[in-house]
Amino acid sequence: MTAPLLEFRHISKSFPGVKALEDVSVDLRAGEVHVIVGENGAGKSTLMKLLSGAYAADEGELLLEGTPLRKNSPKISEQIGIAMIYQELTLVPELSVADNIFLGHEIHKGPLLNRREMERRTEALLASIGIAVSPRTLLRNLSIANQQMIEITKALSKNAKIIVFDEPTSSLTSAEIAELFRIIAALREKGVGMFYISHRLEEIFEIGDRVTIMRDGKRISTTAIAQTSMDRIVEGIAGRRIENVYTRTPSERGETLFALRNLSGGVFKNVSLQVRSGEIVGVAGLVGSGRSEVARAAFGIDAYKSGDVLVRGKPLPRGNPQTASRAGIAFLPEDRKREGLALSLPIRENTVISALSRLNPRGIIRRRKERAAVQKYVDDLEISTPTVEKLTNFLSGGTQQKVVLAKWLLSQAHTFIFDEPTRGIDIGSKSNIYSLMDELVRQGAGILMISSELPEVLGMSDRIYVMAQGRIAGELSREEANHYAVIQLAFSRPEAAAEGGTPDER
Amino acid sequence: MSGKTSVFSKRLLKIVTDFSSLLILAAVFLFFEAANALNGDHYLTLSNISVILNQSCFLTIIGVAQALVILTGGLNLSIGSVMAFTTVMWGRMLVGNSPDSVHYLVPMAIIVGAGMAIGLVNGLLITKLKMPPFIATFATMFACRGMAWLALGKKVIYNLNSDFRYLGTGVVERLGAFSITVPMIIVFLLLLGTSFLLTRTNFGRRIYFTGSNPVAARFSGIPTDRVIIWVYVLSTGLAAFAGLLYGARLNSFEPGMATQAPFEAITVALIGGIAITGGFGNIWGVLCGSVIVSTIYNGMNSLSVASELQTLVMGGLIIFAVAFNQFLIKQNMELRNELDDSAPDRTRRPAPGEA
Repeated sequence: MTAPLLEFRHISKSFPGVKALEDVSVDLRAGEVHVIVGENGAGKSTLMKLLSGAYAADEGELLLEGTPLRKNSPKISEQIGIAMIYQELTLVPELSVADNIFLGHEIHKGPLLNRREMERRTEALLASIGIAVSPRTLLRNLSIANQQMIEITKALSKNAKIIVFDEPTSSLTSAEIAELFRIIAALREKGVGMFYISHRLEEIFEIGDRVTIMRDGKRISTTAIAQTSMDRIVEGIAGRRIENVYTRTPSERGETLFALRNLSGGVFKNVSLQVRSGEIVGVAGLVGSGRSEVARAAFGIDAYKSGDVLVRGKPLPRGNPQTASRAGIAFLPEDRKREGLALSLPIRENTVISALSRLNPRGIIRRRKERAAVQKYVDDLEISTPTVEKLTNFLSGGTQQKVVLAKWLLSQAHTFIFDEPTRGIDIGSKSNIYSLMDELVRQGAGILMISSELPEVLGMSDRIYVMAQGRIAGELSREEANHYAVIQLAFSRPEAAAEGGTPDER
Repeated sequence: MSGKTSVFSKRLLKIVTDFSSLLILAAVFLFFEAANALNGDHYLTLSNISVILNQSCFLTIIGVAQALVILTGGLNLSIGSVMAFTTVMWGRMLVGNSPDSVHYLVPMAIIVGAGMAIGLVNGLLITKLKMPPFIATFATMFACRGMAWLALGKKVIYNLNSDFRYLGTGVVERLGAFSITVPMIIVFLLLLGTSFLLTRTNFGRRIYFTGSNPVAARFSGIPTDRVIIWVYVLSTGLAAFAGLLYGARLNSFEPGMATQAPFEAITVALIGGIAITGGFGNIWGVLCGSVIVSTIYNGMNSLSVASELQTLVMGGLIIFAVAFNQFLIKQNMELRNELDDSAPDRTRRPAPGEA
């Protein structure tokens, strides 16, 4: 029997106060996609960072084709053919595709760069996995999906034998995901071994060969995909049986809390929608269909050209998030780290920031009340932290997102705009967030939820607006909505319809 | 390494980084004590400590003015020229002791008010015209200095009202050789007030949040423009107040006064542990920073160091302070995080020195 391409053998790794990995053994064969799943903090990233050389293990060893790897560092791991494809891309937007691919290992001709040779090789590499992009295009002109393809091509240019995909699909549309999977299949043919980390469980069955479930720094199981089921994976991840991720209790619809009337701006046109008290309204559509842009304009972050934003029937002045917030609108941005948190401040101060006037109407902070309020949401959301004084800088991505969510829940807004509320969040926390959303609307709030995850939109929404090309392509009730109907609308061309003189779809 | 000792040593290290300014101060004291001892002098006398503390009062006020702005991620270069402009414009009202003249609090209020008005201009330039704070306050720095020269030329306003001068020179109580002066009381009250404002009010929270992440602040519904404008109003008003105390001590106002003030204020704030990037720091650190700087000036004078050399030393000190300060902030945050992780329960009381 030949040795596997890579093997983690009895790996343990501790950080102060946390046992991140405990006796973990995982192997990777050539030409397989090995999926690793687990909640945030289960140890997936730590394991991969041992591979990339960012961390060193306390115990255990790493074997490459049967030979123990004595020492590792980011540089060594790159030389032995290990490549990482992260959620955040590491390319330079101002450089061309070819320049990016050969960045750090440029081809020279005497003292000068051999641009022609680099472009020729880039073209060949791109062709080998079937990507139609010119080597000379500047990276910033490519879509996120294409940029990711370039990242993969870059790994190939260095003859990577092992590629780690860390949440590669979190910002891709369905069509782009299909393209990525096609490329992964091509890599599999070439004998590349791949670790694939994802929170989107549907994908696992589409792309994976084997799946390893991790929980609390331990390996729970490794099985062939063909011999497992979604339910068993979910149970393994959560360590308990999760009956139904989506919690929806029928609640009474009340007044219209929030509405957009013919809102037009940069990439969106004539968007009208309503959110009533007691309902969750989903906004589906492809990435780039203008969903987030509409939400940002409505909350006053970006400007819009014409139309109205109505809160309880009254127009909201444009361009001012503060008035929107004071009128009772909460906005949970997509990029929480940059737009949601003050990283140098503790959980407590981040959580109360939007509720200060409510908690302390006289302007002077009441510490006991504040602490109690924060603790309630830390418990409700199961924010894993030893103390509310912990600086948010040191929290994991998923936990950071929960802090931002806690901030808005504490602000007691009546209308919540969630932009991708569960992106990058593990299953256990997801169902927490869903039941919180459910509780919010039962208490009379209205929720506008923008999401790229179709199961989430279908599972949680009372009504769904589908956007395409910056317009509302259609509206579906909970009864009408299904995968097929949403996708059909998402790929429709409302622009052509509107210009063709057909009556407005809304 | 066993868990217990490592937690203990971390706790110790954290206290060291929490009170690093105090340790630096002790080192500076010891240095000058030793250097003076070589000449057979005694440096650390009660009376000299009293002199140093009294001298540091002015630095503390401008340091607080600067720290407020730095906490929001800004900078105020107009501090010195605002002191000159406002006191030169209305300082005549503080001359002499004629019984029919207005109470000295009236011109003081006018001068502080004028400082706040200039602060409003600073704030509006930064928020509404979207000028970088460095440029906006650089411009008002020149404009105010220019107006001060235009208003008074090469003249000096002197012979000030004695009641007013008491604010800058008065002694409240003598404890042996140590004098508690009026400026010390003023500075203590100012620090108490600012500390309360920053840590115990909604406004203070918003200052830190805005400085830490202005984008998230806006998204969280904080009126960031208003926060920033108010901070510049307070900072620049405080600068005018510092100008008053400065004049009260020297018994004169003149257009060329305090040209170094904004830079000294930055030095003091940074040594005091305020992060130049905003959103992190404790206002009491500014007191430490200013006492350190005063001690170094005073100590160099005690050793008769040439003033040119003193300037050079200050340059080196700023480089040292910023580098050391950034290092310490990072260390402190990491230690705090590790201690949080090993904290036994969630109801830990905040450690001293936490903002």
